[in-house]
Amino acid sequence: MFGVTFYIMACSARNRLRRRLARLREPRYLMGAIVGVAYLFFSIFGRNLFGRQRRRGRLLPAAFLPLAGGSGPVAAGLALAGAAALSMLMPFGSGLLSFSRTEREFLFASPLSSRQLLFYRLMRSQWAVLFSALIIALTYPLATPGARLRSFFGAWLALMTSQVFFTGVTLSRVRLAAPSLRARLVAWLPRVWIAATIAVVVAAAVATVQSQGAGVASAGDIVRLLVAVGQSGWPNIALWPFKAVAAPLFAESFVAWAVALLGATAVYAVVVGWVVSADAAFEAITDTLVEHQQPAAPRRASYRPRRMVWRLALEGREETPFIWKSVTQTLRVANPRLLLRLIVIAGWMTVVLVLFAGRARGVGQLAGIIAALGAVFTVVFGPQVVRLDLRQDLQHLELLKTWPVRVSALIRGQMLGAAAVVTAITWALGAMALVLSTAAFPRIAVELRVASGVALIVAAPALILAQYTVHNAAALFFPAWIASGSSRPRGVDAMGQRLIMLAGTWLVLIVAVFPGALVGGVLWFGFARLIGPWILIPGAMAGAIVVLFEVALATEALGPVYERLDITSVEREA
Amino acid sequence: MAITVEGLTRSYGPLTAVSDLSFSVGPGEIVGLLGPNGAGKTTTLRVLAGILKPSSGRVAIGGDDIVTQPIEAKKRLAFMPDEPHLFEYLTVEEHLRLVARLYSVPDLDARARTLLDELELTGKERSLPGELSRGMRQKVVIACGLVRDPSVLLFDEPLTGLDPIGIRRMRETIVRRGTAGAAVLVSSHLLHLVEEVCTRIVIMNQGRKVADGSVAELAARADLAQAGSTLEQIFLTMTGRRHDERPG
Repeated sequence: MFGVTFYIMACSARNRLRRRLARLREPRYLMGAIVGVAYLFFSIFGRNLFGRQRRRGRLLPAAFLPLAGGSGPVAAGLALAGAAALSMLMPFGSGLLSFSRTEREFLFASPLSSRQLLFYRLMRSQWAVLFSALIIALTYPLATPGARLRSFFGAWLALMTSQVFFTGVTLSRVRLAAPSLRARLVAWLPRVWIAATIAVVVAAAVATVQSQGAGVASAGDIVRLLVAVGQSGWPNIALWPFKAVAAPLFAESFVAWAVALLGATAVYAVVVGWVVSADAAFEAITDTLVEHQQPAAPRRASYRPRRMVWRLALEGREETPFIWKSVTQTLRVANPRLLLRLIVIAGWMTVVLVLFAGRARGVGQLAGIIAALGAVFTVVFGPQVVRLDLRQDLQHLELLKTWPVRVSALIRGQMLGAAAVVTAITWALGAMALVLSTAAFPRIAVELRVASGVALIVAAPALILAQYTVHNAAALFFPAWIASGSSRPRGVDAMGQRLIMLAGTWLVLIVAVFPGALVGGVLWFGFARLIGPWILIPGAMAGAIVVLFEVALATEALGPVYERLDITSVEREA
Repeated sequence: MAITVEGLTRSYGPLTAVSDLSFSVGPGEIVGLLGPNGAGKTTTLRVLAGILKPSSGRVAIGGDDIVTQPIEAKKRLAFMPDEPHLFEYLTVEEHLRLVARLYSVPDLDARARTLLDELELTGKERSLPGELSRGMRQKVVIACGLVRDPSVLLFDEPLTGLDPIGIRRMRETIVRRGTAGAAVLVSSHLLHLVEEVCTRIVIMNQGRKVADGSVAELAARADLAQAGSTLEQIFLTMTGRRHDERPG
């Protein structure tokens, strides 16, 4: 199996490198590569170089020394224990079990055991793990090359252990429903162990607070308390495996590192043994993979055949079918797992805000701040994230091109559908912020709060549509620079391309929104003294009308560009 | 003529996929487009469907130029590609509804019922493409093409992925549409299908038309007299393959 795996890895790496070097002959990839390399250089090395200049003369052997004195591994161990507990609760699958279509068709039909398949995936994932470890080592704030090398190996082992552990969690989920009582008990064992670890730490923390009468007022207090508790007694024992995994990253000398590495390796061996023992569960999972994964696109979003409330009428405007299509896609893509992820993210943000934002007292205030931030975030970044427009449908260009629809209507429809989804989210968050604004922003006058909230709601569709116009125009003018469908080209050159596209898009957007902003600004300066902050609403309306007019003109102008768009210039999903 | 192709040339950079191609298909005609891999068949069909622009030459569907009057031309035609392109988030029923809206189909429900029956898709109305086999997805694409009762039908390898019953039904469907007056252009490597259903054959090789006529007409041509009377023999001769080089 070693031979086969290394052969596939070597061939893939060689061919990938050859392909990426070959595509540098194209100016767009060459430009992308230059920008991507420059970005990586300045974001990794530049920071250290400039930082070193600033701090010359007072740099310590390790900027992490305050943590290296013993609390570092405890803090990292606590974080790992928290992540492990979360992985038990969340229904996330492990990336190690994601076989590509080719892998499924070649390897599943080969005379290989499930252990060998798992081993193969583990080996195949090493490039990504090594790259991540390299980034950690390069960005690790230590001065000596030896320390960087040590942190590289420590990070590599820690990442591999985490990866294998999460695979074991996925497999143990299958074991929970196994017919054999022994298998079910084995599946429950790590859950009980993690729960016990968390319980021991929390109980010790509560006992400490009660015995010392110390108040816990901030997030810092909680972290300090947990770290202190985790260094002695039962919590110290319960957290040992987690601390052992993180310990090599915090070792101050070679000897300490070598000793720590032994402990981390022992934990890794136990985790691997636990995962490899789950043969039956792995086979059940691979069966599911073969049955349910989309053969052509394993990473494509899954949709659920929910009955739709909106039934497309057989007559009406040309744009409507595209809006209906986008709305249908949005409502069908939402699945419990996605919802759960959103809840976890929202919950996490809430906890962070509660802990760190001293002024955020009370649920109403907190929800109001989150809603306002969310509304602004959705307007600014929504059109980049929600790609239910031509950017995604370029993969269906062959089909779209056969439809007897006016091109400007098709482009408008595609944009309106996506914009409707983003606008609906913005309006919902904006309305929530408006309702909770008294609690969220008590120091701002009510007139200004209401006027700015309504102004945002009024201006949002125009701002969102303006962004979609720029993104869709970019997709039509430079189709090869746009990742169609859900796939993303990889590599430094592709990353550089995305950076160039992002900068260009923002530049064009600023130019496009400027006339509308100018009109709104003129109204503000002319009438603000007369009617106060309420001028924001007509100002936003006037600005929105100007921007919408520009959008309408742009969609008409884009028609011939779409007509000229050649299907061969679009890079589609394989 | 329902389909008119005059001096069509289509290039991809330095490669000329189709060169100076001319032919026509009248109402009620079923024409088979044959050629070895890379002959330019799919490119020709894609140009006819309005997916690709011709580098030069003219293509008209029902008299409307596909470049200058694309909407009128596209309303008349249905293109069924070899690879089923469907939206992963729309059900079978919704695909038909979307097509009906785009092509202004009035009596969708009745037509859809008949078609779903004909293509054995009854019961799959609320299924998403991801829940269907490749053959089923191919049938959905065909249903989307036929639901609007087009006067011009373009099939690119229509039998790919279909089971034997599906193949038989597809064959019957093609013949029925042709008999009803539609102009049908079928690209296929299945020579027996083409020989059985097509009234005329166009053979392409290296982007150029090398033969055009019925099997009997081609067999009677002086330069093909030695080839034999079957379509396979004619095809192999016209595309420069010797009879003993038949694929195994």
